[in-house]
Amino acid sequence: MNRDRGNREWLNDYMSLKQVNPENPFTVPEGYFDSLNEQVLSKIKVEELKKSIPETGFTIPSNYFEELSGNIQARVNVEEALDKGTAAFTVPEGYFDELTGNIQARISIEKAADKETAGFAVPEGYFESLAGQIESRVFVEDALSETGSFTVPAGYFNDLTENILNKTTLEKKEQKGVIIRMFSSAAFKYASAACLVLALGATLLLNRSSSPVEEHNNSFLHKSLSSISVDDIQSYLQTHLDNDNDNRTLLDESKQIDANNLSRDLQEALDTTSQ
Amino acid sequence: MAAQVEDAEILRKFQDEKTRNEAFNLLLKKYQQKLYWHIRRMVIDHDDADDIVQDTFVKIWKNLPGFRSDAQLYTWMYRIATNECITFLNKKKQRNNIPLDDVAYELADTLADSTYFNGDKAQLKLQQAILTLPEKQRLVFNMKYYDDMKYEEMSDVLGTSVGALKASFHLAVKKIESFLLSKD
Repeated sequence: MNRDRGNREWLNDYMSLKQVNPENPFTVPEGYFDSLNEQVLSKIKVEELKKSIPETGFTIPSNYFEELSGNIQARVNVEEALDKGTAAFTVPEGYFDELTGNIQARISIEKAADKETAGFAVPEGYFESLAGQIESRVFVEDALSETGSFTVPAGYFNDLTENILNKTTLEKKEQKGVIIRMFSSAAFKYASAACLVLALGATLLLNRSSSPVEEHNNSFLHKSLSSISVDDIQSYLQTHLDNDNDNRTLLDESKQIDANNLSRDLQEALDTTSQ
Repeated sequence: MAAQVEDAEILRKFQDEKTRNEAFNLLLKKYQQKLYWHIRRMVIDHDDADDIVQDTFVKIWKNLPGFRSDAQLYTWMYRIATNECITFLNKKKQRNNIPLDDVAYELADTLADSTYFNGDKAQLKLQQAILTLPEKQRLVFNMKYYDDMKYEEMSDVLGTSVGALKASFHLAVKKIESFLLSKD
């Protein structure tokens, strides 16, 4: 190093700095530089020792680094062999030559398709209200699908087809005619009501139109006397009317006819007459 | 006298395995104080300077076999020492998470409390003024003011052009002069 300690003329322009003692104001501990050599050499030895000793406790197999290159080379060869396996795939001849053109053509088609769809229009504010509409629809669908809580017997739907076929195709074979359910028709109901009304009306009418003769014919007296011949009756009357002491009357309005007595009397008279 | 041994002789001995340690001893004796003071003026604290000077010589030992003889040995070692100083100051900034200006204040405090500073009031003020400079200007001023190093040598050490170094030096001197005039 070339020192030119005398060449400090530049200090003449800086008087304040020139007045400062240019000597080194720093000091060091006593004997510091005497021991600095040894300290530096000791540190160098420590550094070399660190370099020579492997990291704490870590060791490697013997000849590891000697074999490392060969191992890496072998691994590289294996990787290359595996890569060649993928190289067995082939592409049509000229595939990559045409690939760029094909991709560009596809892009053009896609762009054209996009332009076509761009021609379609939707009502104003369609997409703004679309979300609300879909949500409403979903809500309605959910409400309708609440019947989903109903259940069917196990295997119901498995047998349903067969059951329906049995009830439809088999019954059709047996019943070739058309079945009309009368009880379910409205005309039958009206007809039945009309018949009932007619029957009741006829009954009432017939009961009202019966005459005294008919009533008598239907009476018990008439039925009892009708079995006796007229001659018997005449002879009976003559017998009893000729006798003046006999004050009995055939009919007394004030008395009820005693059917038992009358029958008994008639029977006696008949018996007498026949003797 | 070891200081008189030429750098070329030291390098020649270092190349020989048998005289390598002897050569390094000569190197240490010749340059240890110069490098120490260069470092000390940058980091102020003696213990920090001690650590850095030892690390510097360890690096010199490791890299000396690859040293190209076309460069000056002195400036090459100065460059290593300077880089170690800058690395140390950067680590100090990161470790304390403080900006560069605060590092200068911290160094000024260290200087005021240092046991190994026996300068007078003017010298203390000068050191405080130097600590207000950016790192590059501090380096240039110290190498010129204390070591009388030529700009060409400083250019080798700092990797900066001579013109830029001259400009930096004059800026630094102006700031220091201003500092010395403005404060008691």
